[in-house]
Amino acid sequence: MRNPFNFIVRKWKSFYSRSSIQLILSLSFTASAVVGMIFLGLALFLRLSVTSNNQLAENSSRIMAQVNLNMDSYLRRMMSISDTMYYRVIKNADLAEDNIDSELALLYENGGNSLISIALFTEQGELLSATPLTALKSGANPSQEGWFVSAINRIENLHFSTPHVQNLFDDPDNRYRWVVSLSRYVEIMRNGVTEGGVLLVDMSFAGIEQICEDVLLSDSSSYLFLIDGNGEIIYHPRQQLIYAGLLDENNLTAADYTDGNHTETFNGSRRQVTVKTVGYTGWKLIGVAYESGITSYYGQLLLFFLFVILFSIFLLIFLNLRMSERISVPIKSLDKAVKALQAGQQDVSFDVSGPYEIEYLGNSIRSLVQTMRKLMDDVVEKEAQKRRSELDVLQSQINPHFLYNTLDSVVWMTESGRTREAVEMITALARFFRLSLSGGYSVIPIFDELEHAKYYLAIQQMRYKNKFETEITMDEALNGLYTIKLIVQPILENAIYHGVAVGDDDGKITVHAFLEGDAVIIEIADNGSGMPPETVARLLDESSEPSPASEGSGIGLKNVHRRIRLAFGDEYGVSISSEPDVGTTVRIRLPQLHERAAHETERR
Amino acid sequence: MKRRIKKRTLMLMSVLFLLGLGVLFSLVTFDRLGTESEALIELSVIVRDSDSGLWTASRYGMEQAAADYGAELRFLTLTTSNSSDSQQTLLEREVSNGADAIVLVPADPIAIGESVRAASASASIVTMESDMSDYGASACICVDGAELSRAIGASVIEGTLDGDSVIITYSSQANFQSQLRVTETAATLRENGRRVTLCSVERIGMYLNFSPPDAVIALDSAALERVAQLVINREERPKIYGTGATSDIVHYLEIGIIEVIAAKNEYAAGYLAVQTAVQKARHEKTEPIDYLPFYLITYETMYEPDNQKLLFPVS
Repeated sequence: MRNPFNFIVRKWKSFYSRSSIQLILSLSFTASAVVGMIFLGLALFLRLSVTSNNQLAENSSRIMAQVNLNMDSYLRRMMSISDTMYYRVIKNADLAEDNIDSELALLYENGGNSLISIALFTEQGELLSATPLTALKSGANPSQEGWFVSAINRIENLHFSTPHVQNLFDDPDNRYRWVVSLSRYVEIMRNGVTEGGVLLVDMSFAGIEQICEDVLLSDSSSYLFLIDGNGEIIYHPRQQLIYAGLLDENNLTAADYTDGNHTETFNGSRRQVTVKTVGYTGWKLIGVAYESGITSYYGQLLLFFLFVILFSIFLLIFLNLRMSERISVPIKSLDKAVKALQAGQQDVSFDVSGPYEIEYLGNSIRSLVQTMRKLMDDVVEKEAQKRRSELDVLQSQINPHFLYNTLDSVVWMTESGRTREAVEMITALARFFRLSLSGGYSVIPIFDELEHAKYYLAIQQMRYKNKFETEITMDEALNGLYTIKLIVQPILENAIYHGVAVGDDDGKITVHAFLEGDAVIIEIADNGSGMPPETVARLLDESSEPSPASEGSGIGLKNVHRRIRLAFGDEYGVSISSEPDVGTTVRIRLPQLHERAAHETERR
Repeated sequence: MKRRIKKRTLMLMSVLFLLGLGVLFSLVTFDRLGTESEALIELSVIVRDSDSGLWTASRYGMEQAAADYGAELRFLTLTTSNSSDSQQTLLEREVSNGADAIVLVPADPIAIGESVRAASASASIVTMESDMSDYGASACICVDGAELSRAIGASVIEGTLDGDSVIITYSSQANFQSQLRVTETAATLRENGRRVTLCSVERIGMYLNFSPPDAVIALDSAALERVAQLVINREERPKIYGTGATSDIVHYLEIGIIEVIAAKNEYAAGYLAVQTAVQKARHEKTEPIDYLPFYLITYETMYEPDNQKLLFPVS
């Protein structure tokens, strides 16, 4: 943990070494694709957000410009009416003589619903002409009205008032209408004398309302309002709520904003404010969009992106898994086939489908296995040949030794005139050798092996003048069972030379063959001089070198033991139990070898 | 192993399918996500008049609040003004029709009290003019009747002389009840040497004909309009004071028939009534409601900017 980087690297290596190819391939492909996608997604999202933001701002500006244009057009129309009235009618008339009511009415009609009234006053506030209502209210005092004062004070300009209730004319319907008054100072002529006056055009507030209402700048929470140069609200979609004190608006602050976009916090909410000044009047259109509304849009966008990215990631995982399966499954099949081969299965298939490299690997392994099998067959064949050679050698060690001794006995008998005995011995020897040859087979029936032993003992009894008795028995169950040949005779030879031959005349050698469990036991026992345990231990010790000086080197026993183990395995062979002055028993343990197995063994 | 792979593939395909649905869903609902879809509250407004014109300004406020807070508004007038029976029938009908909230201007709080109590079990009820919280109403949007009466009383003392006669009139018992403290003002007037008479608006004509007073105080819009109509053509007119701000009342104020009116912001009253009723119906937390402010307006002050906004609501 001292170096986090090393720790992570170690952990990664550990994970890497424990993971399957499929997992590594899937993870690598997916991780790289996901990183790429997230990078791309974020870049797109940010780009889209910026673009959307710009588009929203642009859209707001465009809408604001359009509203401004409509407002400007509306106001100019009113100004045009005022201009027409002044320059075409009032300037050309002597009001003492001319009646301008019809011209006023005509202009009023042209103004449509946008106009509430047109009126002309003297500088003192006396009504000269008006339409459509012509009578002032009894208490009306136009000269005290704001629009009148503004016109008188700044004679060079047209003046737009803030919305107010018109209270000039006597309306038989008792209507009280909100108007915006357009007033100007005019020069009028009466009786040839020029004097000042005020021309009033009262515009319907509803006309302004129609231009500004229902304007959506970005989302449903956005709105637009109109203020004059001092921040007084001219139009607001919730004007009455503001008038009633139930809602606040940041109109006074907005009055100081320059045209363009501004960000402000009002009543705890962040909002974007777009300002556009309406030409000539000094009024300002204020567009308001709450950031929460815009953020909500981004939230939706982000959710959409999230779904798309998650969908893509899982699609990638799915495809990568499928793809990595196509690579890893053939490898796993190969691995499985190799393991089956290791377990000893012979009919293992290395045919795998998949990418070219994997198929090539499968073919290589198949070729390798075939070569290996051939080599193994060669090794087995060589080993069998070697064993056969070794058996041949071992068997060949027996014959000269015994032949020499027997022939020596025959010579001795012949010299001493015991011709009949010599003939019997020669006959027994002939039968002995016939059985030894056994038609060239090395595996023979147990019965034949015991017959072979019988002839041998017969020869030896003659040599040793019946110094010992013999008894050979075989259980019926052993009929038809086989053994490698010449395994009893060497033991009998030892029993004679080292057992009964050196003792008194009442020696006895018994050979008994029987079944013990699954194994065949041939037990050769004598009541000779016996052996101490160390001699017994040495007799079958493969590592101990035979002593040429010693007559009882045990070559015959070892010979038999090795041959049996070579032929049948280490669980079979020779065991010895002996006690000095009591005797020795040698047990030969063999497998039950039936004819068919005997032929197999023969072939090996 | 194969079974595990198959299971994993199946799981991944399921997730893919769900995510695909998610993408489709977000695509289809992209424009609709984030828009509020709160259920509309069915709200009935039951006034105590047969003439809805008396409630024009309030109705504007109510409609604005209904739009802001998501309510479907039904504005109901009575066949006979100030008929408690008619109002009771309407109230029961609206409740049985499943109204979630009701704004009620009671004709007679006592007469309709038990009906309000029963209705409040299934709908949130907000009253105007008269407080009926004792009968289970959720809130009351009204001015301080006693304070209003005292203010009008002070105006009357200022506009009349010692010994002048003053009639206090009303168009319904309810209104009289809601502004009960006017009797204190009457006592004050008496203490200041005015002769005070109380009468319903139905009998005011008789008083005007046979015992013309120096001043009349009308305590609701209908009564004020009625009194103004009765005196408009008389040569000798009493000074008229009252509450209300209908266009007719404003007109009578402007032409000098009415001396002083005490006006509240009818638009705000309507807005607050509906807002509170909807919030109560949705069991939302509401701010404690104070008395609405009122203003004394004369002919001279009626066109002041603030009073214009009060008397002439922008549609």
